[in-house]
Amino acid sequence: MVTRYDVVVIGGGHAGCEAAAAAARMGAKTTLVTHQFSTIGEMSCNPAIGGLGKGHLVREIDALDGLMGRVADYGGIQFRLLNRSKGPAVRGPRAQEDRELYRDGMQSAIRETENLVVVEASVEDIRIVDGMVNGVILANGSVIEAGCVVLTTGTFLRGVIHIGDKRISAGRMGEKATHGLSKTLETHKFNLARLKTGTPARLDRETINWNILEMQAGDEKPVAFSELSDGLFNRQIECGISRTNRLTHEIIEENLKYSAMYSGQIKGTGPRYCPSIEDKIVRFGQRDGHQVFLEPEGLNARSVYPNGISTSLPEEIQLKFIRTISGLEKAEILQPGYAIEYDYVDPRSLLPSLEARAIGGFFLAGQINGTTGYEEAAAQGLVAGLNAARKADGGEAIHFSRTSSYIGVMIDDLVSKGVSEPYRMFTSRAEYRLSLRADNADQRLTPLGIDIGCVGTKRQSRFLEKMEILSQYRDLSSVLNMTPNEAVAKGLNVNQDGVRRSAYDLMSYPHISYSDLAKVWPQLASAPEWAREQLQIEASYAVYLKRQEADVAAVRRDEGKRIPADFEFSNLPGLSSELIGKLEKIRPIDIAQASRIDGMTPAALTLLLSRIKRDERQSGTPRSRGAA
Amino acid sequence: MTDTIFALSSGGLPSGVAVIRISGPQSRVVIETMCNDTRFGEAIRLSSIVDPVSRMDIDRGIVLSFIAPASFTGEDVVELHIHGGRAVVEKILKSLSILDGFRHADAGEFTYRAFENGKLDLTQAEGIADLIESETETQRILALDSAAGKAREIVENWSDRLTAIRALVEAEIDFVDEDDIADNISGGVWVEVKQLIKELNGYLENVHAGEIIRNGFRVTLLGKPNSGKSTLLNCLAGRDVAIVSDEPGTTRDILEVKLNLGGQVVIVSDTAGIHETSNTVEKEGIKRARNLADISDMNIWLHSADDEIFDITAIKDNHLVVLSKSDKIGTSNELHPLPNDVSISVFGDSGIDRLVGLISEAAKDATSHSGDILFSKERQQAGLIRARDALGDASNKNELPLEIRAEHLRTAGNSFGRIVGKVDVEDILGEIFAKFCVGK
Repeated sequence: MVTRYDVVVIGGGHAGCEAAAAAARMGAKTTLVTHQFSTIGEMSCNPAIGGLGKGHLVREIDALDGLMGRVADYGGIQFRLLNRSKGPAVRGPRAQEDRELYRDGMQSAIRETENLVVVEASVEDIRIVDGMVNGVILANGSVIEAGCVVLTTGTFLRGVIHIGDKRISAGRMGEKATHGLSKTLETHKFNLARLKTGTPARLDRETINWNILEMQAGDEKPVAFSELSDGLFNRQIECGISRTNRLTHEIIEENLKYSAMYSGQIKGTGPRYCPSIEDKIVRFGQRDGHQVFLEPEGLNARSVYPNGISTSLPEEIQLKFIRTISGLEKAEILQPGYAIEYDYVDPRSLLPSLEARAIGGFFLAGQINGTTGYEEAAAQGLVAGLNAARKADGGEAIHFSRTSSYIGVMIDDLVSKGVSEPYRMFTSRAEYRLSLRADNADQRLTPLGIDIGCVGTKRQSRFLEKMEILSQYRDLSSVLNMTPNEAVAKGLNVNQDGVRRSAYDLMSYPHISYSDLAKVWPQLASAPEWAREQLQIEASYAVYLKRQEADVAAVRRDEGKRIPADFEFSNLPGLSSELIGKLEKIRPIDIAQASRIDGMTPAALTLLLSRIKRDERQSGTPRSRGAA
Repeated sequence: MTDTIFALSSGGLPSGVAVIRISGPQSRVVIETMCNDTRFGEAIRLSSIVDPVSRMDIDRGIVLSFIAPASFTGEDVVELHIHGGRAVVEKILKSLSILDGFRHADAGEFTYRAFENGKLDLTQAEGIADLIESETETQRILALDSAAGKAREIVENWSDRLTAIRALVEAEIDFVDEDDIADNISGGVWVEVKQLIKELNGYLENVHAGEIIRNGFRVTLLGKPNSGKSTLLNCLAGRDVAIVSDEPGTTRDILEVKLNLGGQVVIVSDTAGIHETSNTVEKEGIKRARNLADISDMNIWLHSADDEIFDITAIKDNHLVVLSKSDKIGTSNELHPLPNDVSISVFGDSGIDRLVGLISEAAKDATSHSGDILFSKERQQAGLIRARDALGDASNKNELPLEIRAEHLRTAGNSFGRIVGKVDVEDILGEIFAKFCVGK
């Protein structure tokens, strides 16, 4: 049996869901192939969405009308805006999720998406003809034809779970791994390597002594992820906090030889920022204890996620060390912790659209590209889905710039630098951090989304309405102005330098608030609370953002100068072989990406550019593209 | 908007004439703020070149403007053809660097812009390969040069220390929820930032010390008319170089003498007396005296003992105050109400030896740290100055939010990075993960 779609997405995790929904929103006839519909939207590790950098990604996904933000609001049971005491640029929204609600929310969202069909099946192989993908072959032998395929298999490629000396072939606890695809990828010369990650045991809520634990509540005024969420859906819960102690550490140290990580069983590299408890003891054993957050996995769920003690020790030792922790003396394990090793593909073999360089129409997204985290996966899924639909439609690739989104930062990092450990987003990775804020994700990306056609009517009208109100008060506050003398007379303390200042300028002073100004100019008083906050944030960074403008403009200009996919770097005279080697490996798609390579100088760029122009002139095809 | 870039585009200094090229959308600002006697677009003009802030004269030179696209780079370009002394060129480059949107050009950047704007044809651009080869050759030679190696080592050391500082700041921003990272973990870094600034300043002063050794220690004699400046100059020179008369205002322009004082090369300049006047020639002379004082290494304010009006406001903190004509008060200068550093009289050479001693000591001091003149390249110096200023912006303002201070530190890191190769955010993250147990 043969069926035909525009886009096939393999995998129903966070990357797969966003990819399928994005392709469908773009109007592509899309199918999502997954083992079981019921595991769509599963959170295989901790039950939380967002955080620093990650929360930024969720907001950006939402700005492009993606699913994650909406679903996280639907399933959220404890919301916290991290870094509240610091400036708005580094605040990150985060929420604890009810796993069941999250999964249900995601499944409904997928069900409700037009142009999207879910097929429960296992993919045996990808069909490739003349360097172009043309469909997938299912385990039952049937074929789904499609010009674009998005592979989002997460940790399933040759996944192996380790618990002590037990090794189980699996993609997730209780779900079988995928083997055939790894071979196909190797046949097509993708570089595969192993990474490792881990998860802690799940504990029975009823067996925890909550009364003696310190509790952490969410924010009093919770902040939602999605622009489309008008309020929160669930009652908010508290998490418990406890600590490991000397006895815990002794047990772990004594049993290190039984840990899969330390017995030499695991070859893959694990993330340094998400170490197992074994790693923590080995590397930071001198600490007298390590924090453990006890996060209920749902409003009524039996299961509790003990954040901070991921492990690959044998189950009986897990139980032994867990019971040394205050509040967990009588804890029972519902599911043991484990480490998982899996194949990932060197992301340097991808274009910034996440399409494989070697195989047309073949896109990779999520953990398979060496990242970790739901948000990183979902953001890549979105990019791959948009581009697959675009390609199916014969359009130009959509690229995300480092200057305008965390999505752009992540993808450029992946395709330019590759990874040596699972890649996670941090705000420090974004050189234009002050302008890439969680609060302005919609202003940065929704216009692009409207332009390319991935934003629905509801979000579009809300966004335009919001922008109208915002620009009304922004314009007003830029026009209203006063002298320093007048300001002082109104109780606003500014330098007596004779320079007139607009209300917008005055707002940038830390000691002057929008409300102070609304008292001076009553016409400002009608602005809604969110608009006041937004203008105050913009004004407070204005002077710094202006300084960055020249840098940003230069990068964007260079992003307009494309390097043809088949360009021969080895023909450039004068460049060192080291530099040519780097150019060949990374294969920058434009001058901006080339200029970020170590050792590039303006002279080398001039030469590169001159060669490109010469080739263009000879073939008579100037190149251009759209970018965000 | 695109940065406006500038660089010395003629050869090594000192030279008869030096050419500073400026290219970019803001080029005309140079004409408006630094070239008094010309307007942008006038082809060739002799003009005075002034400091954009103080408006003081720096030099006189030929100013050329080229309106885009009719220029080498295809952008608005200004060329300043000036006297090729190190001090003059340095001062003009420094002035340009403080203009908004201006920065020192990177190697090959003018050519890159020319090509970008279609001002070079392909064959010319292909010739760039030679430029790259010569860059590589220069680097090879530099690599063999132990001084350059040492300079690199020093900047790498600063860069590493800044990475450690930034790691703490970024940890406080990115790992806020971590047990191992205290809320104010970056609180202690600002002392180290200040230490870095101090060291950078030390090396930047060394650069100046090198200038002094090559060009001489510049001493300017200042004071009211008829306070004895020319007499002192003649006395120091041991011959009559200046016309001396009792007529106030005899000296109307600057008179320079290069002397050997106590083994130090010292350039002593006699200037017009400073006072209120409506005479245009005298006014010009006074203006020049003040400008010269600005770039001097030492200023000596002379006050005549028979002058009872003390204009304290004219005397700046860094002036050495000399009471001249001490024979006129006859006895002890202690009775003289003007506090002074030394009192002299050329009659009988009273106090002159002491004054010579003070000048040569100051000259010796100024050059004593010249052992390590490592950063001789304008580009390196510009990078160090940018780094120092950014570190200052980060550390001076406690009230700034941490993410903004972090941005200033990023700028400083990039400036070091331009000198020694890039700093990667991975280095900072690596530092964080090595130091702290991060990960719930």
